[in-house]
Amino acid sequence: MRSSTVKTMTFDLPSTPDSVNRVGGMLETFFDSQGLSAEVASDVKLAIFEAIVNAAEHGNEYDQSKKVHVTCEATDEVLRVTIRDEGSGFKPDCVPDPTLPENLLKEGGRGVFLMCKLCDEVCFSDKGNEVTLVKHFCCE
Amino acid sequence: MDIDVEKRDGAVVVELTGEIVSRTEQATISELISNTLAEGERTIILDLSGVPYISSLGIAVLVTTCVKVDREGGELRLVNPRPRVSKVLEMTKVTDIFKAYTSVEEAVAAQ
Repeated sequence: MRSSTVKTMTFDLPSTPDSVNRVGGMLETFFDSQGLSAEVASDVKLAIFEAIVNAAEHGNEYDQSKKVHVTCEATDEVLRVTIRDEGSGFKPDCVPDPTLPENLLKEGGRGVFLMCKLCDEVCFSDKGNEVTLVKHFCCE
Repeated sequence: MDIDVEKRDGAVVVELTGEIVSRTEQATISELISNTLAEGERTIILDLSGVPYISSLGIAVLVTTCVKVDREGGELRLVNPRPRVSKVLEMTKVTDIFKAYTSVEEAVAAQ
């Protein structure tokens, strides 16, 4: 029988254009230790990447004095990842649907959309500077 | 991310290897495409067979490349996107924007 303990991993990232490049291996190791399938791990990793990029760029505006804070919590069935920046927040409801024909050729606007498609739950804090990604999974 | 560029039968073949997930990678590809267009090249083939993973920033650079090349009267062709890349392209409904081929040879011959 598997234990139902919560495994946690936390780390802070600098607010740089390539901060997301530092975390892939760390996340994969964490997901692997929790028994996530390659498909689920890939989906969640991408959603986390999107949140980190948004936090560093739009939240912290690449201010080197500000960090992106990431907390991953996993039980046997649920992965919960919180990404928080030190910015003033934003309103996720104001992001237009990037799949509408008039938006398909636009450069940006797909990050939040992908987070929502790849995770089971996506919750923003009232201030809008923290997002929690939730993914339910079955261990392999 | 590694980039190899080769001219082949009137086309520029850009072989990308590695993830496209950060602003750094996006900027590198964007600059390369701008330089390629500035040199007068109009048929650009992006070989994605070595790209395991792509984020919204990767999609953004593919879309803007397509728009830029089209604006110059050229054509962008994608080669062999891996399943995880295809999944994200399909999810964001941008697949119809691109002409996709299963090999570089097929993409070159399409002109």
